[in-house]
Amino acid sequence: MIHPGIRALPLRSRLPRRAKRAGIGLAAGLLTALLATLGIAAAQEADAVADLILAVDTIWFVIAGILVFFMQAGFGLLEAGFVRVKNTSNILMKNVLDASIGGVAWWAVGFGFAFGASQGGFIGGHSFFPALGGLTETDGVSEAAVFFFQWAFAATAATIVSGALAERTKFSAYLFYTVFITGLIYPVVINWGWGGGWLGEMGFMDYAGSTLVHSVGAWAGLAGAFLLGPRIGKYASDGTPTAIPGHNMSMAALGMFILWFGWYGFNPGSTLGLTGGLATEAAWIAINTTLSAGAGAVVAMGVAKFRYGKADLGLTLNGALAGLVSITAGCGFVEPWAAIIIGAIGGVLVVFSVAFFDRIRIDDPVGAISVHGTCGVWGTLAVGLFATAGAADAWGAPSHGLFMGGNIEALGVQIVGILAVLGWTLATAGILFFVIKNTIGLRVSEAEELAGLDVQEHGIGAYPEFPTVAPGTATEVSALEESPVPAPAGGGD
Amino acid sequence: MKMVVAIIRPERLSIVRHALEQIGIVSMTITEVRGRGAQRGIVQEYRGQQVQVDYLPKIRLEIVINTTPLDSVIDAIVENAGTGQIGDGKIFVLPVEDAVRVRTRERGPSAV
Repeated sequence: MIHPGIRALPLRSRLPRRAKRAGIGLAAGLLTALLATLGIAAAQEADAVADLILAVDTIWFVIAGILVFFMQAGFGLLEAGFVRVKNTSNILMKNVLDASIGGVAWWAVGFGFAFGASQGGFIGGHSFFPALGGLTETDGVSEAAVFFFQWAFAATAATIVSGALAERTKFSAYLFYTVFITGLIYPVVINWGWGGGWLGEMGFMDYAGSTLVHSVGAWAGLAGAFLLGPRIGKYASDGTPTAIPGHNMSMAALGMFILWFGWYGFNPGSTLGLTGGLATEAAWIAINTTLSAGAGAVVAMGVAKFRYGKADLGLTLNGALAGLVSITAGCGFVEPWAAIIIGAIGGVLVVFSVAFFDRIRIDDPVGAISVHGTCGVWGTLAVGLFATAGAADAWGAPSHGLFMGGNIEALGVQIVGILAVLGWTLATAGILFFVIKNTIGLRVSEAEELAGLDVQEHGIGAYPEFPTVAPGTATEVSALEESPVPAPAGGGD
Repeated sequence: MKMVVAIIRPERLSIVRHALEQIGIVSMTITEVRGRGAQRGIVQEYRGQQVQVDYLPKIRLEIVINTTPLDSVIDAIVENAGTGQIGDGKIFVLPVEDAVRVRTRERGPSAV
C-alpha cells in the first residue's frame, strides 16, 4: 500500500539526490561485479542492491531514532536538576508520561495527521492506527522506520513543555495536555513543513526542526506558563524576580550532555538516510551541530560573566542547548563558520531571553521557552541568512541565504513559517490550557505547591531517606506564615 | 566535667580533630547543622539572579572533658578552626552534671 502523502516525506533535499544515484558507489559496484561473475540474473542483482540500500537507510533511521529517544533522559535529568527537591518525582513523571502517552497518541492519530496524505496542505488524513503491513517501503524508505524516528521527534516537542510548567502544574492536567500536543498540535505543524503541506511547498527551510519541533514545544510552554502564572516565591512583594535554585546541578549538566548526545541523532538523522551521498552530509551536519553547541555554551558563559559577574553553570548549560536548537534548522544548509556564528548568537540570545521572560512574569524554571522558542526562531531566521546556494537549491527553497548572495525571498518564507507555527501553537495550546484551567484545573492548590507536588501527587518524594529541608527563601517563609500548611505525611519538612 | 560545644566551618573539621587528638581527646560527637551569625547569611548567584542563603552549613562539635585542661581544648579549636574571616564560628562551654557509660552503667567523671 502506497500513501501519496508519505512520498513527500523524504525531505525535499533528498529527492534530486536520489535521482542522481546512477553509480551506486564502490560497495554496490563490487557487489554487482561479484554477482555478475557468479552468473546471477541482472534483475536479482538490482533487487539485492535495492534491498541493501533500504537496509542501510533503515538502520540509520532506527539508530537516529534511538538517539533522539535518549534525549528524553536528557530532558528528564535537566528538568529534575533545575527544580527543587520537593518536585523531583513530579517532573520525572511528566517526562516519562510524555514519551509513553506520546507513543500511543502518535500511533493512533499523530502519525496520520503528520504524514498521511496531506489534505489541502494543512493536515494529513491517512495512516491512522497503522496495522502490520500498513506501513510499507515507499521510494526506498521504510515507512515503519519513519514512524519510529518521527515519534521520537514528537516526544521531544511534547517534553519541552514540562520544564516551562514545572513545580506548579496539576498532574492530571498535564497528562490531558500531552495527548493533544502529540496527537494534534504538533502533527499539524509537521504536516505543513515535512508532510507535503503548504509550508514545505513554499520552500520553508527547517532541516531538523528549529521551528517545526522545538518552537512548538516552546510556544505551548509559553501559553501554559502564561495561564498558570508564576510559582509562589518567584516574585518578591515589590515584583522583582527572585531566583529559586534548582536542587542538583550535576543532574542538570548530565542532562545537557545527554541532550547534546541525542542531538547527533536529531540533526544528522534528518538526512533520512545514508545512501546516495548522504553519509558525508550526515557527518558534516554532526560537525555543524558540535560547532554551534560549543559556541553557544562559550558565549552564554561569557555573557553571564560579563553581565552578572559569575560564570553561571545553569546559563552555560542553557547556552549549549541554545546553540543546538539554533543550528537545528540550518545544520544541513550552512557552512561550519556560519554554524559557529549561529550558535554564538544563540548563546547571547538565551541569556537575555531568560532575563526578559523573568521580567514579564512568565515563570519558566528551566529556561525552556528561551532555549527552544527564542533560539528556535533565531535558528530558522539564520537559514534565510546563511543557507548556501547548493543546499537551498537542492531543497527547493526560493532563494539561498541573504548573506550568501541570495535575495530576501528565502528570509521572507522563513518568517512566514515562524509566524504560522507561532500562531497555530499559541492558539491551539492556549485554547487547550484555557479549557483545562476552567474544567479540571491547571494548577495545584497553594498548600500543595508549598509542600511540593511529589508527596501530594505521587505519594512520596524522590529522596525519602534524605532530609529534604532546604534553606527557604524569605518570600516562601512569609507565604507560609500567611497560609499555614500542615506538614505532609512523610514529607520530611 | 565540662561540655565544649563548638560551631565550626565544615572544611576545618579534620584539622580540628587532629589537633584535639594531639592533646589526648579522641571522643567527640559531630552534627551537620545550619546556622547564621550577625551577618545574617550570604548572597549567592543563580542564573543571573541573587540568591539569599539565610543559613550556612556548619559543623557542631561536642566534647565532654574531665581531666584535660579546658584552655588547651579551646586553644586547639580556636587555632585550627579559625581563618580570620567572618563565619569562623563560636565555642560554648557548659557544666555537665553527670555521665553514664551505657555498656557498664558506670557513672560520674570516670564514665567520660
